[in-house]
Amino acid sequence: MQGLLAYTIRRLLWMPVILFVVSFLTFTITRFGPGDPVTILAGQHRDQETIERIQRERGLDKPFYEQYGIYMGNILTDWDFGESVTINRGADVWDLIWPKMLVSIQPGFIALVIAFSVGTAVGIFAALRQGTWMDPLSISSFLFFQSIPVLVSLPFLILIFVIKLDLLPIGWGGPRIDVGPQEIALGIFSTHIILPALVLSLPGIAGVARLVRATTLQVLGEDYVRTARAKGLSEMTVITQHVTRNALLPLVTVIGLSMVTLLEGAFFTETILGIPGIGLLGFQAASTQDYDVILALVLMLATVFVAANIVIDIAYTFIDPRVRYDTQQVS
Amino acid sequence: MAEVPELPAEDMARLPASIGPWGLALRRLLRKKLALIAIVAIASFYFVGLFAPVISPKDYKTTDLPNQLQAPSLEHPLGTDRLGRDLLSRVIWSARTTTIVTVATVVAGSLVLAVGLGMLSGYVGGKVDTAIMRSGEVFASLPGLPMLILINATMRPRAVAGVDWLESHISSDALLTALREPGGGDFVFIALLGLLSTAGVVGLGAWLLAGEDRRSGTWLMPAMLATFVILILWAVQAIFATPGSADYFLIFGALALFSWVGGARVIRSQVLALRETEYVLAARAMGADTWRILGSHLLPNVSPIIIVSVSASLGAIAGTEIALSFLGVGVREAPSFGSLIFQASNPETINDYPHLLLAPALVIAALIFAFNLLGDALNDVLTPKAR
Repeated sequence: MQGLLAYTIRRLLWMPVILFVVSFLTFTITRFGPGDPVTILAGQHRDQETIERIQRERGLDKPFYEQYGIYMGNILTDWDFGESVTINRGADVWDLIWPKMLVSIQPGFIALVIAFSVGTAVGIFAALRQGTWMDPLSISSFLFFQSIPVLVSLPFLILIFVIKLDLLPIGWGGPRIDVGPQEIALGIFSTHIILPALVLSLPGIAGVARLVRATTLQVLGEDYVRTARAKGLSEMTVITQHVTRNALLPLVTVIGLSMVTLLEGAFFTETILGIPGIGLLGFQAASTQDYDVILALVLMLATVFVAANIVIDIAYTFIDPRVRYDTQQVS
Repeated sequence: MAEVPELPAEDMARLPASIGPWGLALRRLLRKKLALIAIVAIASFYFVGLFAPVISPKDYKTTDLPNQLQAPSLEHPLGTDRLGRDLLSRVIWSARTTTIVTVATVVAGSLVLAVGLGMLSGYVGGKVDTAIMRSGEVFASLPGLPMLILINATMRPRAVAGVDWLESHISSDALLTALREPGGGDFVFIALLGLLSTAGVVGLGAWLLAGEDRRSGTWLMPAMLATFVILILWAVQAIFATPGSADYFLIFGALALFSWVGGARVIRSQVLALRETEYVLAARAMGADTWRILGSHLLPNVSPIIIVSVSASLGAIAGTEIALSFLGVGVREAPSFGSLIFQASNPETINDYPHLLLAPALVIAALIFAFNLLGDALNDVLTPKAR
């Protein structure tokens, strides 16, 4: 266990380094962008005096590396991500973001569940039918769905299910709860969740299905499966007890990647459907140059991404002892 | 030692002609019907993209307000958009956008950054390896799409300024001006670039013509660099003919920055394994230098992997450009599938004029599907283990 502990600590120590580089890069990019907050805040009063006053108040007259130090200091000590300039002037960025994250997580979570359950079923089905026409057909039909970007498939689904059939609502709704800075709706308890969750899950199914198919085929050739069959166990028991259990292990590694794909897909589902989540917020912030909001969003996504990958790496060495954690550092 | 008896000439003629590994791979690829369809689809798409200025029936930006939002007709085969612009011409010019962005990203990101850094990292090892792989890890842990949105939203004025500078210094107009007034500093710059690319072409040609046994790796690096310069110059020339060239530079630059890591990792691990093989040892024992080993012995052996990883990434690159243009931070002055879909995708427009969405959406879905099919087929054909 010595090696595993050392590996875990090494991975965890690597995390702040990456986050430091990420935050520094993002901060530098935003500080060199157009439409600086001073011009936006000064508005009509574009005289030298007002501009200098605003610069002084916000510390924008200092060199940018000093500004970076102040920014990071505020985050680490007060959890202060600055304030919004254009979207909601004066609002605290963190209060603006976290309720919207709760909204975005709902379709993302449902989509993850759909993608993994359908993908697993299709993958096992295809593996068991290997060599027949059903194997390539089931995989490649989902490969087709994977090829269609969310921003292409969503308008078609809107046309069919919202406009023509009038089955599903557009936008966001459901029971509302007050979470402090804002009131958010729990779309997970209403039909509003169906469209975004469906669209987000479609591209992921093929990836999961192919991975499950490959690992299932591998496991089917193992000696212990032959032993189980030779014992006279029913095919059902062999598949559920002996095959799937071992075939599904590698799925753990793709969960992190799928989460990121889902968060990126949120940019399109939320802009097209008008769901008030972080995707829509990021879109508005990018188009109105609200840099503190973008900066905070990128930082948060990077943290989630890095943390998820590290947790999965470590979890995987626990689940599957065959993974040699000491060699992972090299590759 | 007994001499091997020679076969009579007529028997020799009946033996199947020997085929190299590439011939075998090509033969296997051509046997797959789906892959063939995908290749034809992609080739015709790129043909349309390259020759868009010639092919498109109308100018893509001429507005014709009395004829706005027309249904498909003989005059406008795909109808017209909200400003009366011909949709077919806009789709054809969007294909040009996709063509430029995918080719430029593959050249800059996959071929130059991924192959160069991957081989360097795997072969040289040590501190170079650590530096490259660690920075790769940082790039891999940045959230891709939000970062691209951020870069494209903030860096645009700078990119526009940079392209304007380039345009006034190295375009063909600038060359003519410089020639008319000799002694200008720009002339030296252009002459240097010209000399460099000529030397590169000659070098590459010499390397190719030298034949397998005398081919020296020493030529390879300058030749590769020069080819890269020529490709960039070609891209510059092609892009200057297209409006909004700064957007292209920004998009393929940013995309290349985020797309090299995966390829570099795969190539590095392959080079690590090949470095220990006996033929590399033998080559080194015979006094071959690093460039020769990299160019003549390692590059041919990693090229199947390069092709597989490039073809697998094409769909994602095309998709990302469309996504950025959809969000309004991508290509702004030229038409793009992203902006076409954005304009067509609000609920009222879909209901009343579905053809505006249908045309670009079907083209782009078919293209990405073809990319994925081709990537799958190439993976089957070129990766021996997966067969």
